[in-house]
Amino acid sequence: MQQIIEVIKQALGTIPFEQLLREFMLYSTKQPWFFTEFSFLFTFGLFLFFYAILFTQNALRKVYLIAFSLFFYYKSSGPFLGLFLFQIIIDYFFARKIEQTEGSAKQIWATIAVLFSLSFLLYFKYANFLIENTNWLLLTHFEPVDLFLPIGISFYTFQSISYLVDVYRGEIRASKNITDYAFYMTFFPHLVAGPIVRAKDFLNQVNSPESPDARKYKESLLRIILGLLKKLLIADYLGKYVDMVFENPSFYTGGENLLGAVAYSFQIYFDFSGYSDIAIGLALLLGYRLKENFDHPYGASNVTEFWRKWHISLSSWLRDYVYIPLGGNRKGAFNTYLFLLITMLVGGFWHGASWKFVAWGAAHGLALALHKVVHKHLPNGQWMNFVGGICTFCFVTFCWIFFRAKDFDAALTVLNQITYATSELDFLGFWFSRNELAILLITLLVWMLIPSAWKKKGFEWSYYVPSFFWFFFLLAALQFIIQFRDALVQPFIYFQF
Amino acid sequence: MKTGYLFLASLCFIVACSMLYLYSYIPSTYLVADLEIKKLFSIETPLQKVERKIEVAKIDTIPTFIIPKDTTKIVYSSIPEPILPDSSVDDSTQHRVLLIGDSEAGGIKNVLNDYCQSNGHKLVATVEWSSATSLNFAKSDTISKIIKRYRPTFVFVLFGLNEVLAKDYSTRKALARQFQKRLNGLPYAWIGPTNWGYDYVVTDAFQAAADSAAFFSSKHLILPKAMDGRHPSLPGYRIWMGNVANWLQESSRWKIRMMPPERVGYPKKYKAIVLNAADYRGY
Repeated sequence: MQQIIEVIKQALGTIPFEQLLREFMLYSTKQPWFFTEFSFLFTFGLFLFFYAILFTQNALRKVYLIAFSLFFYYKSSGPFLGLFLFQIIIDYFFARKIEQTEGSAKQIWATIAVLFSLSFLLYFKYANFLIENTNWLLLTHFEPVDLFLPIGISFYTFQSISYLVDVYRGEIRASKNITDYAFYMTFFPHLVAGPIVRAKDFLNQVNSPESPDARKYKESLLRIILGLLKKLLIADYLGKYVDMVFENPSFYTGGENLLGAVAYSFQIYFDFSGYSDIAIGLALLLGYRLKENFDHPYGASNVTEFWRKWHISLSSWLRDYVYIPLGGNRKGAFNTYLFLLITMLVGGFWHGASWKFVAWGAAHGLALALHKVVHKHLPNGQWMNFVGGICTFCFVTFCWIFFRAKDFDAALTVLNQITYATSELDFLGFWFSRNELAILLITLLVWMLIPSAWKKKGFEWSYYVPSFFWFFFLLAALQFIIQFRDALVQPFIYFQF
Repeated sequence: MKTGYLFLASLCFIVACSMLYLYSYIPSTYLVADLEIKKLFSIETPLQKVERKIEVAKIDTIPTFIIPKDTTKIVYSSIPEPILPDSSVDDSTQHRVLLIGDSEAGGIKNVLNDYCQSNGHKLVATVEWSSATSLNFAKSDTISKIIKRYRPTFVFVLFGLNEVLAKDYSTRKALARQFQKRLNGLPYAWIGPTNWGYDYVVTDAFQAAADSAAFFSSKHLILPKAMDGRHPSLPGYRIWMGNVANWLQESSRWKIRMMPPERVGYPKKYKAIVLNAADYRGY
């Protein structure tokens, strides 16, 4: 005991508290806050302590949570906090105005409000894309603008648009309390990379969070731990190989390019679903339920089912605010397919200002349309589902190549290598030279085949462990991450959107 | 209490992160099952003052190998004709081979793997400790733990390149001796570092500390270099291993079968342990 105290005293004596405080309070472009930063996890613990004290004081609790959320956004995105606050205030008043007006005035205000929200996204994300394509098309020489994309702008813009449109449609009442609306928009678990939360699902929780019981406590810690492991161990480890291959695909054999594409399929899934798990776990701990964003998408037996299970918050947003307003399936078969294609083009474009994302969206749109045409003629049964699952995974992986490659030409190089430069020896060489990665990929492919119900049941067993021991799970998971993580942690893939 | 679990969760995060953070400030390193428990971050310690002046003998400064200005005139060593194993070598003995060394061990490991597999031995693990010197190998418990874990029956030792300019003969010899004790009586082949012009005392010190018949001096070999100018190139490693293999079969203290491999690129089934003395000094 004496020795432990001596060690702690020695450690405390060497900690530079002033420097740490300065680093903590100031935004740094080199060390933006992610959920995976240990400084965030420690700060969250401190935040949670005072949150517990204020839990029963509704007004104070909301203000406290908003303040922490804004601080979190500041640590992630720095000076764009001001822009974010500005948008929140203006959108709040827009929603009130939309609700108060009727007829064509209502429509006009709704259009202005949506365009206002979209304008920032369009400017920061697509201005240079527009300039480049104008220069190419019209042979002009406009200079690109030096822009930095505010983190999470795609997510919170879509969130505010869903709120404004829902108010316009009369599906929800405009919030009369700016604190409530600010709470909904700034809630830090979903702020920077989703899930895209609908006001109708969240606003009614703002004033009545669920106090966590033993089950919710364990569930939230399990989600957070799983999310950290998915992101920092699996996704980042796969990312090392993926980066190598996609940086110079012509340097690698066809087999390596193929395995790089498969590895990316898993990387993006574990990266994004890991982040979503952490977000859902944090929200649950704070007393709020966020909807699931992934439901074992690589187990889908067709593309339509894939989009019901992948990035659910985005696909349902696109369905409700693009596909259905266009006409959905109510205007004949041809228009249904056209609207699907347009919706997926919007979805692709949302991901980034590049033709490769448009190509990715178009491929998925065409696949969805094709599935709509043929699905009635396909036989049913488990074997059909299995074969469909393999085909869907292959198709999705093929599309991810465009998503990940640095540009269109690089994506075509990858495909070229896969088509013309693959031999069985590539896989044998891969097995012997990258044995751990090969085992991981095989394990993940097998994991994909396990029914989701079994996986859920497996996790249910962990809830029998007494609450006290979950501290050791968390400690072990964090140490495990330190043990095997990459020194250069990859940022969350969806942060760039 | 309504918020009891919130307090519990808060304590979980605070205590877990604090423990990991404080551990980073503890100077010692702890191992679990031969695996170092890594720290969240490393603290830069200020350089310690050298208190003891190291006494060095006066050494003849003539380089052991003069690199000609026109490098096309260098005549490199070649892979010798293979010598059939001595009658004392039991052809059927299959050894569990462990390779320990610095970055040159990292370069030779695949060549050694080819030799081992072709001759029925099993290269179980390799330890490539970049930038390490005899100080790391002598003082560190890591090597003992690796030997205990992988249970080799034959050990290849290959380090010294990082101290070819050292002139403290007695210190190097003492460290080499200390390292040799860690081998616990296992049969070994100690290969001296390659020769890039200067090798003041290292090879002689190691040879004196080791069983001289178990030590292979590489000073006489002129090996083609890799792009970094320090390490041999891959053909260089093959030439080197060819010479070592002949010595192992003919005149080493512990002879093992090491005929030239039938092919190159045997599957790599060994455990490659990579350390860097800049991050991990081992003691």
